[in-house]
Amino acid sequence: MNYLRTAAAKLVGLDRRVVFIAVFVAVAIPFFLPVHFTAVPEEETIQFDNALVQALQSEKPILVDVDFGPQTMAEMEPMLLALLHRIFQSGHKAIFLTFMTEATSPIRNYLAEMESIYDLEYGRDYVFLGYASAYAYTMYGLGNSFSAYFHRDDRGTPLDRLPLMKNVNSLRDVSVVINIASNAFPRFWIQYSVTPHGFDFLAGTTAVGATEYYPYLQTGQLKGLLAGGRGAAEYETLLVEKGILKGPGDATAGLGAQSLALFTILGFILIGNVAYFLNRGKAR
Amino acid sequence: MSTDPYIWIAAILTLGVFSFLYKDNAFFAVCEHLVVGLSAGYMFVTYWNNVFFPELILPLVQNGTGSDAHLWVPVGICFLWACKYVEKTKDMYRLALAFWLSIDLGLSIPTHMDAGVLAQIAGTISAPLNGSPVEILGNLVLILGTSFALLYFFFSTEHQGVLKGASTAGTWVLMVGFGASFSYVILSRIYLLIGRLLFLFRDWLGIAG
Repeated sequence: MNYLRTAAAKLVGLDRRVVFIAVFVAVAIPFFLPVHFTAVPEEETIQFDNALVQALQSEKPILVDVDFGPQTMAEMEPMLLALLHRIFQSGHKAIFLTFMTEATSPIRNYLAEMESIYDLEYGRDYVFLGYASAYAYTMYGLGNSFSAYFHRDDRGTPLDRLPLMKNVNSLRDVSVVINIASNAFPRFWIQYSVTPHGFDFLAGTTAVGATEYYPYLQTGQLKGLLAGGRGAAEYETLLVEKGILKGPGDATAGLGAQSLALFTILGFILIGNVAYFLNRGKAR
Repeated sequence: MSTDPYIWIAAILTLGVFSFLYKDNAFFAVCEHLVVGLSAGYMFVTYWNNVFFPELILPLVQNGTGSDAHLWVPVGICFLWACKYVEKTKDMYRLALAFWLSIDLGLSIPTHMDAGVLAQIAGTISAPLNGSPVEILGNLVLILGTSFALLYFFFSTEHQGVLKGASTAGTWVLMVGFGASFSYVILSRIYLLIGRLLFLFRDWLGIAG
């Protein structure tokens, strides 16, 4: 027993760098193993796609608000790419905007990639309105007017010269609003725009913020949710099953690393708690 | 291994940031300052290109005495903010603050009450106690869990008897909620590490699929 308590005392004072190395190894190993994990789509992911399919049947364009920067790209990028393939493979039209300055450049790159894959025409198939300041007022105001908040698109072209924007005067003229965000913007959309104006709203968030949005799913203020990297992997799986994506993307590729890392952390939590209780006995 | 210089720069900077895990060092400090400087610069240029110049300066220069004359109002409010830095006029900034607060609160209080409070109460009250046993159990947990968690924050009476039991149950509900949030935080952070390692092993070194 004394041996155990000595070991416990050493474990309590374990150098945190040992934990870092263990997690690093746990994340790295699966990349070199020929083991492939798949995600099983949860209800909120299926709801997300069902609502999107319904929107794709409409003639109205889809509004996509992309709010993430390089810092959360690992989690958000696979989600957005899967969504873009979903929209553009169906031949649907979409309008993009962002409330984050650092998101502008990545969005331009993603849209240029989609333009070359699906042979899209800017202004007719898609439009990027660019960065918008004062998110609360803009979200609220778009329910009444686009032209009052956006005079030009990201390229400086006046909105009335863009064919896609000809029939889009307010949020009533889009089939669904989708927010792919690494921050609290989906909540702001629900608060400032979805509830007062009443339209279908979908969100993709980081895992950190995901728990905040489940109550909104229950009330129907949110029609579907992609919850972090897990949600992105589930969506990739769903789109592969439906033949939209040729193969799984980066979110699915990370599933093995994620599983092993989580088990490693769980192991540390268990060992840490056992060591803490053994050590507490010694202190008494 | 990649021959793209941008990939190499990103990979070296990634290693520089990771070096902090060993201990604080000059390489990490360089990366840190680079991020702060680049972010601030990028933000300023985006604001300038998308907001200040096309939405304020250009219309004022072209039509400042005509149909865009109303844009002098936000310019005036900006100057009121700047008054804070001059001793004689420092109280003037309160006008700008009052203007900003009144608009912000006017918009956020009713919308928050509608979307965050009333809609959530309605959603909880109307949770149907029918359907499959799992659905009934789920909705029962929702109704009772919300009630217990609310009772935990009821401080007008001493927590004794039934109220003590309910508030203890509320504590458990809150702890489960925090646990779920925390596990999602870990999941999120792990994905960020996965993204960076995937970049290093696949895009930079080319040794992983």
